[in-house]
Amino acid sequence: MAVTHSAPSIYTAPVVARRSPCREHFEITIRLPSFPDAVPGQFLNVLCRDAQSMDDTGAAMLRRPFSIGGLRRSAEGVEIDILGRVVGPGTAWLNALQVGDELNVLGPLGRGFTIPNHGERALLIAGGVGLPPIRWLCEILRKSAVFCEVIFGAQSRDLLPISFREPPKSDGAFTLCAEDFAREGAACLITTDDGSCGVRGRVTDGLSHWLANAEAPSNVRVYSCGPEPMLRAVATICAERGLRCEAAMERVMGCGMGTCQSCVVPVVAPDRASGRRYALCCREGPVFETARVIW
Amino acid sequence: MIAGVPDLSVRIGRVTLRNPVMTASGTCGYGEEYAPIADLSKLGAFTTKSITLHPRDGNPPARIVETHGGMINAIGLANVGIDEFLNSKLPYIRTMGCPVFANVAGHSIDEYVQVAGRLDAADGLAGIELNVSCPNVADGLMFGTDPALLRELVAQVRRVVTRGVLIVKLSPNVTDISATARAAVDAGADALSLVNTFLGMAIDIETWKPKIANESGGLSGPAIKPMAIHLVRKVWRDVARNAGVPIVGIGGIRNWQDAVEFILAGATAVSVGTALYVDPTTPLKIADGIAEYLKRKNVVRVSDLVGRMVSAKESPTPPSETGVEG
Ligand SMILES: Cc1cc2nc3c(=O)[nH]c(=O)nc-3n(C[C@H](O)[C@H](O)[C@H](O)COP(=O)(O)OP(=O)(O)OC[C@H]3O[C@@H](n4cnc5c(N)ncnc54)[C@H](O)[C@@H]3O)c2cc1C
Ligand SMILES: Cc1cc2nc3c(=O)[nH]c(=O)nc-3n(C[C@H](O)[C@H](O)[C@H](O)COP(=O)(O)O)c2cc1C
Ligand code: FES
Repeated sequence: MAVTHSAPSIYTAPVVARRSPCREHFEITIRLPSFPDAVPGQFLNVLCRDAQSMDDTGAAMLRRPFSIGGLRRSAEGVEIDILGRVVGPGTAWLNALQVGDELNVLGPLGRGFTIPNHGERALLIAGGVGLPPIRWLCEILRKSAVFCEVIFGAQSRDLLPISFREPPKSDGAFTLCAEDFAREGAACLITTDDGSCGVRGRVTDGLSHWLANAEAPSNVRVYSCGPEPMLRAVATICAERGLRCEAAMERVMGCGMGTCQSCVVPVVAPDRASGRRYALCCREGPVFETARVIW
Repeated sequence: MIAGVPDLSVRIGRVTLRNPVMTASGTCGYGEEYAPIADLSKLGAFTTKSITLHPRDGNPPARIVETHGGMINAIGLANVGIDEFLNSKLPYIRTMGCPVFANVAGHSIDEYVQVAGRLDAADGLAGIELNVSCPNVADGLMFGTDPALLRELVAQVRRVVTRGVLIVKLSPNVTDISATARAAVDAGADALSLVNTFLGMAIDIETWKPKIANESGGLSGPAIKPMAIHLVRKVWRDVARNAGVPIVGIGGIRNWQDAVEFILAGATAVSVGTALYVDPTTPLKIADGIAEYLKRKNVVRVSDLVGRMVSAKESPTPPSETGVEG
């Protein structure tokens, strides 16, 4: 499938819903009159302060990138979800937004996940606040009737920004436990570092469970988003097992539009003497084929 | 001119800008990146990322960190190089509809001369801006801090820049910026742009590591604005006014009020850098804001404002009286 590259714009949009899915996390929904075609993995560059307030605080001057965590079109316009974790001044400001407040966003930006070919299956792997693009991807893949299974992990139960239909299994079985994925008919395995929910361990332990049981893993495409050590570990396992894998990566971004050259990811470049070059995460990514990334 | 519509045009060397608001090198790529968001044809002028003889990968990440009211960058002049620029970037630039200055950086006088000469020979550029002030490559500051060396560099480049305007971009990381400004003007610069970034550093107190891999970098954004205005005033007073050389003021400009401050200090035009990241249309908003301001102050031409700051002792100083009838 062709990768969409709709022209980005700046939008000011009201917050129409907000919730606190778990400790340190927030989810807001904004409504825009219109929004170009976008695909999971693409992001918004969000102004995380009052547009005029910089003289007062000096904080969160630059926009902050956030994955599109869900997108719904209706007669009333386009609703977009942003799911985040509070880690600094920008995310703290977002967390304090109330319904009716306005948010200034620039997007859609970057290159998203590719959609598998007919007959392929998908294994979706998210760690922590890597959930939003994976959640939306699952919805989109299911609409194309792609079979999806999900592994989602966090440090502990109270840091899982997700609601459950039933307790996740601790024995490595995939079940329709997680509401966001069960709704799409996708079975899920949950991991927590401390074992407080699902399998004790990392998402890579979940991946080992999956690999032990998978019948034809070569027909599977793996999609991942999460902290870089997790992405690297998933990429390594996929390389060993010959699985095609895409990862949505994060970099500190100045512009989000390919002008500042700050967001580089080292990738293989067979045509170069050095064999490597820097790719811009905001333009060539944030989604990369993990086999191309020099981890 | 029509009564009531202020004249925003300014001259930088032989080029006339439709308004005094430009984009700053390294903050707006090669043009096409921001084209979906901002109507580039309405810019006073556009400045490209620094171009070098050979392509450069730039420094290892992390390359930027935000600091209070600003950011530190150590990109390391990552750019496509002169060949690729001429092949794949210039064709788009020719369609942009505003004057475009190609910013040039190098390691030696010979490199600068080669790149500047090829750019001057190519059609579609308004001129060259010499970056002699990049803090993020090993010898980047060399030319910008040594007046004798700078004079030599500018004189050599001037020989090959015969069609386009030659702007020299000064470093603020010097004891006496007037000395480098004078060297550039004496050697034939048509205009001076100032400032490039101030050297800065930020340290993570948990890990004890520098927040950018290069350790030091260049500080930009609103945090540097007062320092930049001071330097613009100094260069205007010591060098530019008497030499009749225009200054392009740069440093932390976010809105029309900031731009007017630079113009009053002595800048003929201004460049917007870091603020583009927040809103790529900032220069267009600034140009509109300046027009409104001129109307309110009853000033006919923006060029009438250049350097018009009055001394604190002067009185009375009703700004509206500085205007010419419209
Ligand atoms: C393409 C992309 C998509 C993203 N999607 C989401 C999302 O859906 N939900 C979410 O919560 N976060 C997401 N992030 C991360 C988010 O941008 C940062 O958490 C945010 O910028 C932090 O801003 P702050 O002012 O709160 O904290 P800051 O004070 O700016 O940073 C706090 C800490 O986080 C680190 N950090 C800041 N920005 C990034 C970054 N871009 N990548 C990695 N580490 C960073 C800083 O180094 C620092 O240690 C995404 C990042 C990218 C690049
Ligand atoms: C990320 C970044 C990259 C830059 N790259 C260049 C460059 O390649 N050449 C150059 O002359 N100046 C470069 N600059 C400096 C800007 O052109 C400008 O002089 C400086 O940022 C101050 O203006 P500002 O505060 O409006 O950003 C860069 C600045 C930033 C923030
Ligand atoms: S964030 Fe500026 S180039 Fe990617």
